[in-house]
Amino acid sequence: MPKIKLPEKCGWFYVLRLRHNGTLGFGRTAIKNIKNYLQKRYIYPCANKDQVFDYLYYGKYSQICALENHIKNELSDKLLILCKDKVEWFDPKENITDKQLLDFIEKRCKLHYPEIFKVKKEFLPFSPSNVFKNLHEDLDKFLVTIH
Amino acid sequence: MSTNKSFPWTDVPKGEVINISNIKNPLDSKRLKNAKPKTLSESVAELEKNPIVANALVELKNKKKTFDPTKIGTVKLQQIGKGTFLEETQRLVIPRHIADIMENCQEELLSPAFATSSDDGNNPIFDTQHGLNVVGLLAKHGLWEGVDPTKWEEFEYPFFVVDNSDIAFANEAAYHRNGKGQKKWTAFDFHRIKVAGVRQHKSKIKEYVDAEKRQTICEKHEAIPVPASHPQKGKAGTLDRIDAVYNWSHKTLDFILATHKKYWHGTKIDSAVFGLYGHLYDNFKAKHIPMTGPAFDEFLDNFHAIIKKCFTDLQNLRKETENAHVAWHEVAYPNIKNHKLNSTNCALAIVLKIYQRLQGTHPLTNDVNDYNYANHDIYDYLDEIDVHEAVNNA
Repeated sequence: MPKIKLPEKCGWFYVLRLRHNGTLGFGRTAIKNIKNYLQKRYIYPCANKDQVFDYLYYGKYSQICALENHIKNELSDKLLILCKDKVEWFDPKENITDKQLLDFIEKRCKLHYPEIFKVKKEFLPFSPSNVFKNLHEDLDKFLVTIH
Repeated sequence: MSTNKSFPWTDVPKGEVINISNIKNPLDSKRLKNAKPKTLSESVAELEKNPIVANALVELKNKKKTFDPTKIGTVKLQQIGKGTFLEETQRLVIPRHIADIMENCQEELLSPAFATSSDDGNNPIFDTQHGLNVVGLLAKHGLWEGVDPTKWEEFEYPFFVVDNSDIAFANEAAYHRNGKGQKKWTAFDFHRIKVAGVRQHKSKIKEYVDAEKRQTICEKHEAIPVPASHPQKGKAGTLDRIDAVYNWSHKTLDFILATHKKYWHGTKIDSAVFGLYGHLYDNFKAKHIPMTGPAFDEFLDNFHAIIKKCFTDLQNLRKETENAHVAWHEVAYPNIKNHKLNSTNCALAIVLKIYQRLQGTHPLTNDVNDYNYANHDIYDYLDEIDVHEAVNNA
């Protein structure tokens, strides 16, 4: 019996550090094919570097959205401002570490978002050469509960 | 927290304890009592460190731009009869506004007359048209102490005169005084004045006392009103919709914020709380449904278990409500062009409809029957989320 069960409408939450300048960012998507999303959205030819998602979370889409909103609200004073708008990247001057961000995310998930799971270590960092084949048929293979 | 087992969903959201002392309350009583005005020197020193201001200064210097102090207007006492009004510069005078000013006239609140110069020795007014007319009326009718009504036009009044006789300049100056380039006051600015009026100056003005009571209710429930520019805006424990605070009675506001604190504290206060809990409280009260005791507590737990299960939080509930409303309205009212949600009880109606479908037994408000027209019920248009699947599997 599979341990992890999820509804049909799911999405990804990702954390990435740009390989060419070290800026830490995050985001969400309901697009199932996360590989395509990474390639189209974050691989910039001008950066001349491969890009990966360093950490990935998968789960019920409304909880993924709520997680992203919470980060934007609670950490808003640490976000980068471009063209007068706050963006989903941390201001490098804030020196936010991966651990600080992951601790913040996972503490929140444990308390409020039981249907968000993290992608197992062996599948990270996620590069365009990775594929989550038939993810929903074997969620336990790829995902683990946040403790 | 969990609900009675007879209700299918038992996972109820629970507010977290947050450290409210981290939130800088702009209207904190203690701070307001000890507030000292900033000197210009302090203010300028602070601003020149701001990158936007610093850049603007650099640009002026690069362009070698300088300013001539002799062109600034000067304040002088002038006979009021020298003021003239050109319709293109000032609006047509509004008698009702004149009457209102006279009714509440306080000498200290009168503005100087803003005027330009002209070759005939008169002063075309570019702001304070209504104020100067009030001054003239009071003078002509002997209501100014020590002013002879027969020589009322000679009454000397402060004018701010800009020595420029070009009529096009008067028009431009009027535009600047009445909006162009000005930063409008926000709902928070008006709220701040009223609350500070009571907390700093012990004002007894009814409207100010009301605002201070609302501020106190917000603070009691750790929902600190902040302006849009506040660096902590959006953080848990702040409230950025001060306008909505004025839409409800004190008791209803108390219920709204107490309920948010019980179930959602630790998450940004979404504007959905006002319509959702405000109508719930007011309409339960109107129907004389008790709002204390175990039955109501259980109902509220079940109500929140629905929100958590179907929408996760209030922000998602609001967004899904807006989407469902458009989808439903397009079908229910195809001849109406605007399908955007403009009522505030829609989210409540949706949660109550789900409660009803889950065989909830607590008495409900009439909101449950809203958004159902020509056999189209908004519940059936909640297709962006897993509500139907969840309800069917409950």
